[in-house]
Amino acid sequence: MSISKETVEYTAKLARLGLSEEEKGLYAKQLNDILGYVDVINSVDTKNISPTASTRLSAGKQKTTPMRQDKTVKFDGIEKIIGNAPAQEDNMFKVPKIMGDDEQ
Amino acid sequence: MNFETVIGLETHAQLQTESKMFCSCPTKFGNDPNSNICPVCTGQPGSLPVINEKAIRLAVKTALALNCKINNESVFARKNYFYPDLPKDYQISQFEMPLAEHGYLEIEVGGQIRKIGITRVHLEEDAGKLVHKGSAGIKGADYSLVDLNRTGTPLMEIVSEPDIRTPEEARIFMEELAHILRYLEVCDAKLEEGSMRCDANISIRETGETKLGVKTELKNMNSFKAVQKALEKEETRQKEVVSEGGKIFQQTLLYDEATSSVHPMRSKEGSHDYRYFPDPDLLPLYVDEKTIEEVRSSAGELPMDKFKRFLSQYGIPGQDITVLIESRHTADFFEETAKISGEPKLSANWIIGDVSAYLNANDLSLKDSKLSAAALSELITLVKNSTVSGNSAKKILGEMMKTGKKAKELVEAMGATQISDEAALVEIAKKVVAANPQSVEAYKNGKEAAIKHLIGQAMKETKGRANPQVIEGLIKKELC
Repeated sequence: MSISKETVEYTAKLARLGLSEEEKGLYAKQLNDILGYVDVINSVDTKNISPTASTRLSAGKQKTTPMRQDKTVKFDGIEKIIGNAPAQEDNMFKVPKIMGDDEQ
Repeated sequence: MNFETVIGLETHAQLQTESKMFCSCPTKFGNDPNSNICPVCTGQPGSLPVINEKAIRLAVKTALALNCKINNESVFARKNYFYPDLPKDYQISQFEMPLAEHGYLEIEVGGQIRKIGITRVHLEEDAGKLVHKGSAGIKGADYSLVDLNRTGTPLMEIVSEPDIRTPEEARIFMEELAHILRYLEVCDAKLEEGSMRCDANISIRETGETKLGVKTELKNMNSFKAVQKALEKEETRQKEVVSEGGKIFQQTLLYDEATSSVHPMRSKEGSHDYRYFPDPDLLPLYVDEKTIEEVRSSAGELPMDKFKRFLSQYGIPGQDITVLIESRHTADFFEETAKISGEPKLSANWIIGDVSAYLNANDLSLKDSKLSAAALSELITLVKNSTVSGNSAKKILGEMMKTGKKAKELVEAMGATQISDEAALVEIAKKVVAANPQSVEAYKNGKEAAIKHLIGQAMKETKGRANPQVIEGLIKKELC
């Protein structure tokens, strides 16, 4: 797989990142290097091996997923979360206008 | 040109858990803004999600009720998009490996059973709520405020196959699904309040064509009726467009309840590229056979099976059964009453009639009322063996439901015992006949209905306690 400049531009747009022309070229090269390495790993035949999500849950042993009981605990420090936001009003997070004037 | 309509439904249901899907914040509604939030549901760096076991069990229960195959292993994925109500910039959902697949739901349409396929049932988390300032809606607002109380509430998504053929079928499907969710105590399933939401995909094709046409997606239907209405509008629109040689474009439409019309929602290029990938914060979800069996046995009999059994076991009309099985509690209450009293039909009539009327008038549920199945059975027996009249029983029922007192106790206290003893009533019959010569005359002239007046008078004399059959017999004897 090869990453073109267009792919970098599209991905940057989805991630809301503004990139300079220089950066686009740089990232295309770096991403190609990374994915090139993934291609090397991909060349190993793993057809009969299921992916390892965790070494603690490896095949053959009992499979369990850590879960919690449906009990409520109030978080003590909400004001810090709200205080971290750049703007607040009525204990809510204040965000700029969502829909632009040119949109309908 | 003849068209066939093809509809598929995506339903989101809020699960009735105490805490959120991946953290311990309460799921309560109506609390002050941002009073039920924590580092996990607000996406603070370093916080980690932990799965709510109850949410998994509720989703498994629903999936089993929808005849799905439960996947022993499923995966939570990140659905990436930006919106102010989504603090992590991704929603934890399930994509490639959902919790359950390949099910179906049977619905009854015009007396026919239709089997609608269920593609998948999966779990995800809800987003927050936006309050727009400076305008009634998002359009024209100066800015918006974000309340994250709802963020992270467990949501179950149920996707149907495109097996639905009419807007009416779509409404019936949603109603039946809501019934099952309520019955299983998984979700309170109120479209009006948003605890259950429905998106509908609709396309048309020429009759006989097997390929699917281009679909549009309908959103914002806040009632079962609106689901049908919106789909009818869009069905008509698509048929008109195609009949006039036009083309349908894939788009999302919003239903406007006030004008009962559909309008296109703005769409942004590339906004549907969600770049799903397995959430590295969560291990795969393993649900073993033991858990599935536990959930299966706790789920009990399903509404459709119960309907069929009630029909053959009790011989009561289908429309009555539908009311009785609206909730599991009511169905159990009915069965217990029928068993103790030995009178299934009378039990059903009381529950559907006077008991329901009392509950509705007082805005109560059967669960919260003071009436027990044993108490209702006692009242039914008292009416059956003519200790009290039907009319007195209605009054006694109201008192029973208000105070929780026993029927016998109330009958005695109210002096409502029915008089069936002929010796005690014969004088009354004589008195009434003597006092109403006009009615006696009319009856003798062949006007049979005149006896009703005489019975009425006897009832008045005894304050309604006379056994109507006995008093009628005695009056007739007097008239001979």
